[in-house]
Amino acid sequence: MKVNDAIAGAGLIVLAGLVYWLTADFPDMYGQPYGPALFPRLIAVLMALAGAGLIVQGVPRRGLAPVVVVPDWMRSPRHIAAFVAVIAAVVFYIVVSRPLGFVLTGFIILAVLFVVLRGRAHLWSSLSLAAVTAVVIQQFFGDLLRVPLPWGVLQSVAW
Amino acid sequence: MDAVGLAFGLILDPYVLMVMLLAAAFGLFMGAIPGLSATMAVALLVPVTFFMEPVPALAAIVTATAMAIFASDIPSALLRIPGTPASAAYTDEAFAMTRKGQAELALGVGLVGSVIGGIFGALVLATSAPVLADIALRFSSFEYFWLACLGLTCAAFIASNDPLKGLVSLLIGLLIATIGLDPVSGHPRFTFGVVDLMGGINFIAAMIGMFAVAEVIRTVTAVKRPEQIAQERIGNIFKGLGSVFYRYKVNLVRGSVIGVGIGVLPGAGSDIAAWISYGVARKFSKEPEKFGTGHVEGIVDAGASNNAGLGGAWVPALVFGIPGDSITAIVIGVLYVKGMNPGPTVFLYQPELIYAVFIAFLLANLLMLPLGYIAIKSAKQLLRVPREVLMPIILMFCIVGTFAINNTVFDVGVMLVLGVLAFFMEENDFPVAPAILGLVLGPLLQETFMTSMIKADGNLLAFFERPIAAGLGVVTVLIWLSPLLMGLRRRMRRPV
Repeated sequence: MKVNDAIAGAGLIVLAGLVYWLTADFPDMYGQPYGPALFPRLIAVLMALAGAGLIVQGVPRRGLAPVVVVPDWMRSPRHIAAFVAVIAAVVFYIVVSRPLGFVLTGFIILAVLFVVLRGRAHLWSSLSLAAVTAVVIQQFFGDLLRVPLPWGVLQSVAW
Repeated sequence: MDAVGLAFGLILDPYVLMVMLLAAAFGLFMGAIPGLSATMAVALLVPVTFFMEPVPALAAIVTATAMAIFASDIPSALLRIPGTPASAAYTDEAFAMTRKGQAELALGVGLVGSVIGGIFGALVLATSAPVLADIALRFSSFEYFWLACLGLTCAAFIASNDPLKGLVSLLIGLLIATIGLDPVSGHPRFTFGVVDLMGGINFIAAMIGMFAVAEVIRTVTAVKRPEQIAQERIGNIFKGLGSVFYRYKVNLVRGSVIGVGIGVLPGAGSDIAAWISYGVARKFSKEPEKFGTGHVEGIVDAGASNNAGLGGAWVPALVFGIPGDSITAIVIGVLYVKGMNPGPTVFLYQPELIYAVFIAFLLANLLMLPLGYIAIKSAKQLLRVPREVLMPIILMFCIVGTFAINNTVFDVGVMLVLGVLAFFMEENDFPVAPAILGLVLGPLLQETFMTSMIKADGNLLAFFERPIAAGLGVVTVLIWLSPLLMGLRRRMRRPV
């Protein structure tokens, strides 16, 4: 999604204000004029200035292009599905990887992503590819590199 | 010279050589497939290098990046899609050559030019870094503060067409770097009571998010145009190379020199080196009208330049701990994790490690000749790898790689948030590289400032009291003021 620079600028000014406000209760350092609030505040001030600059840059251009340009992918249900699937996959991993274990979580994520991206026509090859990849990653990271990937419900059959 | 012998021993170890070969294959693959960049290759390598000694880890990164930057020429010439942004400058030119039946020449010049540029970059790195390190040994927190400022300034001003958006990106990176316990006072900043945020945002999770996850999202949402491999059978790529390089020897040297120079500048790497070299080639060409029609001259310049830039970027990274591009930004993160603070003291106490990096660079570029040849010959198969299959696997690698850093899914969340942020930033033409530099240099900037102020009792003028610090400070302040000064000059010139 492409927005006019002025909108991005306004957003930055709001963010800068928020950052500044959050530094209000930062303590001073004893005997020092510069404390932990210095850098965040400096960043906030510069960010507000840059935001103002973007507004100055964006306002004259408002007639030339729509304020918000919806990119091609946001008009195509297939691409929106792909975008949502990628994000959902990571969230799914964060939530269930520990109880479910890596191999199962990995298999589900890969299978869903393959099906979303390749279409249902390749269902069986997608499922087998997902299974093989999940096991290979488990072997490579879990066994070879000794990353403690969770086994979850498969703990009893862990190899 | 003892250290050099030791370094040879470190690199010529069978394990290290095997790691380099695997990294080379990985780099060629990542570079040749559009949508997978050299930076992404490094981001994905990091979790694996985590489990290695420093020498094989660094050798793997050096090799993978050199290969990726070359391999990105292959889809440029055959698909008209750059494999990584580093070849974008001459993609149209290379493809026009393929259209004229000169695919072999375009690829041959790309390969051999990359090797020569890469070796040049390695030699400059090997000769200049130790000398600079000698000077850097005398630097105090004042000089480092200005170096960090200068690095960040270059990153914002050079890395994007729009310096204002570069600055915003930089500020976002710096802001993210302030999350966690303040290093001097120990006060928690922007942690909102979340314990996992106390230690700050994990840098490698951020890198993988901003360079790999963002790229995965971009690829799966790309509304594709049909891709057609313009030429499937590749003949002898070395035919006629001698005369081309003889004719354009000046271009070869010029491209290499510009590449190293741009590489050394913080924040600007191979991508920008290639654009500038291509532009310079056209400007000084005797036949500028031929550019864009499948003329090899610009490819000689830019092909050497992007590989030379890789070596250049390591100079400030190794000597000062200030990354020259986003790849070396990751390297610095890796070095810190390995308990080695990049900077001149490494040259003093572990010179064999530095020499090993130099040798790895030379060896990687020599390896590029045979391996690159094989990659070109198998281009047909390489370019047919379906991205719908690749992207989910890469995403899985990102997740597991990020998890592996601290064995916590919190980092996976950080990766996701920053990946989505980077995706939308790039959609709106905000470059991501300055944010990464901000993230790496933010802590250095703060620590050097606070240490300096404690030393100088809060007197800001102390930043200008030592000669080198004063010099660096004046240059930095002048760059900051330059947009203002130029605006003033324009106004003065305007007739009243």
